[in-house]
Amino acid sequence: MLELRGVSKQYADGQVALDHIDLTLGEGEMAFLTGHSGAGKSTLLKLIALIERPSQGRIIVNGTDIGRLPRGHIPYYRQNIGLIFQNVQLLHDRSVFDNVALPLLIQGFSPRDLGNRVRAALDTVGLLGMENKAPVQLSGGEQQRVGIARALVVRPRLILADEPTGNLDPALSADIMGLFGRFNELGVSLMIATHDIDLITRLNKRRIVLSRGLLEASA
Amino acid sequence: MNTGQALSFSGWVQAHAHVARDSLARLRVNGLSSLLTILMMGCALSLPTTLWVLTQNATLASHDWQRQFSLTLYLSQRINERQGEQLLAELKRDPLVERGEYLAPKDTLAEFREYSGFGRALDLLEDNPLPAVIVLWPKPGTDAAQLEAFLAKQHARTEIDLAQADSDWLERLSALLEFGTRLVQIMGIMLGLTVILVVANTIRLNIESRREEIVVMKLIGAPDGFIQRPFLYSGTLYGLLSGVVACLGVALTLNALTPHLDALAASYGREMDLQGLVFVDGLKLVGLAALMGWVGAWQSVWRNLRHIEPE
Repeated sequence: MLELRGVSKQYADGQVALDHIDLTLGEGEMAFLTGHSGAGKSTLLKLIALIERPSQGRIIVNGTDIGRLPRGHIPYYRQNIGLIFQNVQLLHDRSVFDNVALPLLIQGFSPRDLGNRVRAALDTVGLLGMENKAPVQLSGGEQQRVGIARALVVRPRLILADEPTGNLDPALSADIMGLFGRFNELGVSLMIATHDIDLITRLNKRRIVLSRGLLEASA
Repeated sequence: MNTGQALSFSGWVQAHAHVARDSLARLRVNGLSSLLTILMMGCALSLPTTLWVLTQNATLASHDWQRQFSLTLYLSQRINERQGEQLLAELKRDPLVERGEYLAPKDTLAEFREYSGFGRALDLLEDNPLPAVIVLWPKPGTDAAQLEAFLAKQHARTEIDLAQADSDWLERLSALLEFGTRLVQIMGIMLGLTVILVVANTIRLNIESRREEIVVMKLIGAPDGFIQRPFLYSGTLYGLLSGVVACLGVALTLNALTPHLDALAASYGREMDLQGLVFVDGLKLVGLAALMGWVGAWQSVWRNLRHIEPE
């Protein structure tokens, strides 16, 4: 599913964020990306999402070296992955329904045909019935679930999550991680960057540990 | 790699209708500022359009007035009536001539007697001193240069002693109309550019205010075309509505000017039936304004959207 070969990232100011990372994530595998602040977790996810380009090395997703993708192909690549962020990044002038429907509209679904998929995604995250609410009317946990529904409505095979429970209390964090566990059971590959050791321990999945841009452990 | 789901035609129409409704809703949300922008653009468009309508009216009127003015050819004394009629028949075949009339010396004398007030004095003359005359009416649209050349040609004939036309004021009007047409063209280009720049700046501000939304869209895989679409619709709507405002502006301006133009035409002993913007021209104006709005929006999204990327 995902393979990183000798991937490095050095920023324009000379700072090395990642240094020769070799890593694979198999089909249907779930892995936690951990490490201290500044270890390179977010940079690694940004490289896989093509928000940044690697300075060196190759990133292969489903057999495609995405580092070589032309700029115009990047949106279509991103349509195949689900991105979830700590700050949920919802559109606050649109309803919950419209936020979740957005990736489908982008992929060319006509506005009439996407209702069932949006409701199914909202049902999966336990928000069915809240379609017409505005994001500001929801709690932080509910907003995060809307973000997750938006990521999974396109039925991605790979989900990348950057500190998805960073702003949530322990109970809500456990709920969200439970959702990720269910997606994984359905065959979705997930790479989740988090500090939350308790959750990682509870779910007992693979851990990828980064330290100062180097891969410290992967087990 | 997914390249997006192929849309049916009805799906494509639905998607565009959705964006168009959304763009219209955003114009309504920014009510006052949108209204002021549209009014400013409408005023900018109505100025050259009003001038164009006035120039068109003046051109039409000048054709009517040209129909009423004539050329007078004073024939040599040795030309008899039959030769005069032959000459008239020849002149009528000229492509510049619409119609003509031959006046024999006795006719010109009778006309002179009627209009000059010298009736009794003329009775004292033994012979009629007046020559025969051919009066010609040129075809509408004949310009001053063509008339001048025609007159010079007639003047060179041995049968004609003098050829003259009282067309100085028409020449001045023709030059004025030419100037007016050029002015309309220049103002149209400059104010059209102003409209494009106003839309471009308005869309730039819209893009800035929706920067976060654009970043989110790019993160979830929106191609440039999808992100541009609402801005292009907004620009087109700005243009379209300003075109409607311009049509209203032209109608109001012409309504206000009509009595003054009537008075001006009357002072020259003429009549002027002022024609407003016809429906087809109004549609063209609205269409052109919408196109300018689209161009302004397109150049703004082309310059500004590519600089907004997720970080």
